[in-house]
Amino acid sequence: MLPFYAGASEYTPKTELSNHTGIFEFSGVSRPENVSEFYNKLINWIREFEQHCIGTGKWPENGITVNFKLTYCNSASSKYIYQLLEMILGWMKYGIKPVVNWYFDENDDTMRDDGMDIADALDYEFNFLPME
Amino acid sequence: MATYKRLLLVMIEVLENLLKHNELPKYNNSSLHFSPLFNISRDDNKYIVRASNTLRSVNCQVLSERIEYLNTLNQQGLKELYKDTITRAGFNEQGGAGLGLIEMTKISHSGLQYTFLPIDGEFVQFNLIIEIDL
Repeated sequence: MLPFYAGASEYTPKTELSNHTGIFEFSGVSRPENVSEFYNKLINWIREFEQHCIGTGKWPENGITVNFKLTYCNSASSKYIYQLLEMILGWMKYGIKPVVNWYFDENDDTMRDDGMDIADALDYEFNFLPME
Repeated sequence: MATYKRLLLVMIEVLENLLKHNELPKYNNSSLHFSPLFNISRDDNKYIVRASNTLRSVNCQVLSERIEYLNTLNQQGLKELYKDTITRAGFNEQGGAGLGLIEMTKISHSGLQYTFLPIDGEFVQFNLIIEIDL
């Protein structure tokens, strides 16, 4: 299985999903012109990754870490992010405890609030961290 | 930064709605023509975002009821509605998540103002005004 990589564009985030390290990272802006087309690729990769780990019996050694370093996220993207995380958090049934790090600029309460809303909807604790 | 970001969020949501929701066909049998409108202005206390697009008249009531309901909610109520909407499966026909109006109302703090102006029997012009405190 191969990692997923997409470079940042004016509308989509830099996206790096590594099946080796278990680190999934999103940075930049998320307001794709076709939001379902962009996020369905990620959903398919997440599904494939899950099947790969189940099939080989091996999950990444350091577990799963999801990093969000977004400066803007439109409402349709928020819903897909929720769906992606819901799938990832479903891996708790395999004994995985995913870590979700939500980075935000300290002056940007809107991004912080977006993360808190998603965490609340998932009923899962995120780490809220200052953007590097 | 906070006001700028809130304004940016509203602008992008409004512009995306203008792109997704224009129900008057560009080429129709009558001589009717409508271009979506978008405007930002500012006074001493607030930014004002204005936008207009077209809707089928039959869709007005649902939209009106939705906005009236959103305007009754406080910030906690909007948070709970947001949570309920984001956890619900599915997207609408235009690929939207149903969260945009909630976001706009949360940011505005003073509710959404709107009017419908008939174009003909089948279509209306929907005018939306959102105020953002400085």
